[in-house]
Amino acid sequence: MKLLAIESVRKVYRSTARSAEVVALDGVSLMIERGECFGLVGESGSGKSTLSRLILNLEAPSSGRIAYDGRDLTSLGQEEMRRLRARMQIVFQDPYASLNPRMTVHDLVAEPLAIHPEAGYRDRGRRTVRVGELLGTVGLKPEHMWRYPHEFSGGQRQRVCIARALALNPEFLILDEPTSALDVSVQAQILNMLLELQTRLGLTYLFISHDLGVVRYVAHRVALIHNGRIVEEGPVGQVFSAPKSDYARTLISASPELALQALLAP
Amino acid sequence: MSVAPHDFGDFPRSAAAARFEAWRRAFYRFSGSRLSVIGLGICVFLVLVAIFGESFVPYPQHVTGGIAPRARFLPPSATHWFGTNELGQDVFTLVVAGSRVSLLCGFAVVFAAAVVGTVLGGIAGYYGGWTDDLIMRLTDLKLTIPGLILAMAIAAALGPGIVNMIIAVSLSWWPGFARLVRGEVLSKKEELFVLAARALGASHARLIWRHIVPNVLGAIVIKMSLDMGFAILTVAALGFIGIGVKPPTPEWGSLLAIARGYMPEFWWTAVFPGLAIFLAVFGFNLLGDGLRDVLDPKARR
Repeated sequence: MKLLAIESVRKVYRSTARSAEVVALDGVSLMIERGECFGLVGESGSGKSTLSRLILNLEAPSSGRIAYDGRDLTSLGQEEMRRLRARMQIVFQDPYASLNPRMTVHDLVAEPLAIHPEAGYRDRGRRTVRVGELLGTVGLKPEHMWRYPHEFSGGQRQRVCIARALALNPEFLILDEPTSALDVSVQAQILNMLLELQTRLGLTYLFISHDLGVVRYVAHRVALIHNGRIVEEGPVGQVFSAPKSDYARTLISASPELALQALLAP
Repeated sequence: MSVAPHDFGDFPRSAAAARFEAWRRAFYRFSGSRLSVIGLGICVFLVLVAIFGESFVPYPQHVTGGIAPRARFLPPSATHWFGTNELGQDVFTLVVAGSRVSLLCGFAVVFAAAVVGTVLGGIAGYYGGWTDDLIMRLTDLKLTIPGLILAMAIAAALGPGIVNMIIAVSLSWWPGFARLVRGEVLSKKEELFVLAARALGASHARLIWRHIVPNVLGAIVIKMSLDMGFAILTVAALGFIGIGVKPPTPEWGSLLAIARGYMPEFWWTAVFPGLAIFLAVFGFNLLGDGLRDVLDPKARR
């Protein structure tokens, strides 16, 4: 069953009327199935993050269609869109910039609950209880809810971001390079936690990364994006063992870790 | 869950404790600089003098215009610490009593300018488009006229009086705040945490009040404190040229203006009000610099 359908989406930016256009996305089509972890791999500037903004309807595509659970995002009214936002959440790459430095962890994690009163947390006391639960879920202690983000390490902040993303029991999470800013050891902890949460909570992931190794580890299916176009798409095993496009081959051979694995493979 | 809970050591147990902890740390950073502590000391001292000083002056009758013709131009002594002026009034009494009007006017000007500038600058920065153009052209207009001249013109048009003078100076003052706030809002609006809140479905009100304003407030407070000294100076300058505060109400600028005629032989009539102005400008600037170290994350370290 498909959750997200992206159909020939094009996004063009131009700063002023006379300046040249920048094509960020050029006819991108993708399907994301419920319950899977879909990996999207590309270099910086390839259009990965633009795509995530379009899916969240923070910007509108120049042309093409994005349908979430069968409903076209551009056709939704404000209230419908607000309700839909409760079902999809995002975790950004930079946990330093994505948390408001003037809010406590409690207020940050409770914010989705406050924005969406229909989720059943109108009462502040219930929100605080829920925040405590969520912090436990991501491996933090409930007592730390009264601290400010700058008192945490990068990995801990990313856990706060994940707790915040989980607050409304969403079904779909966009993970926009969630571990790229972290130390390798912390990366592994966060990745394993994300995988565990996915099976436990039945989440669907769009995992955006430039790191082939990470994507290979977490994703079921993967798409490669280059200069705003999807150049290859398929199940992880297939794309990594028998890449069809030149770009995929270049990328895989450029990754020392994967090249080594290919050499050692029987 | 197999993930082990992280250990952070001590932690605040409630929202109030968290706020207290944040304040304590901010003060710790602030007190790291000796100059900012001196600035804070000067400002607290001046404010205390402004509030309570008048009750303790040695010659309260001079505050309300009483004169002592036989005690004219006495040099500083044990009975008249700052000497006496051309009317035989105790200069110490006048300087202490004048602090209330000078500080109050300075604060009123900065506060009014900050409120107007923040609202207009905030609208310009957040909504952009033609409102931005309109408001920014208005501030450009102000930049073409020197502030003091503009304040003088407005004060002359409104007529004399303390309130009119405050209105006049604030009207020439708000564009500085508007520019600052617009710039800050423009940059904060693009921050990732604002985008994250938008992705959650936050309303404009929430984005402005919970995410943007708290992050801009620091810059506003810093500018208010830095401007305080100059506002007192401007109020004094207007008093000096005879617009605004009228005698017998003591005010530092007008005290200085009158004393000008008796320089240099009766220097004490001018030097002490001048020193008071200097102290206030100096103190509020030091305080502003100290606050910047605490509140402005960009200037940190």
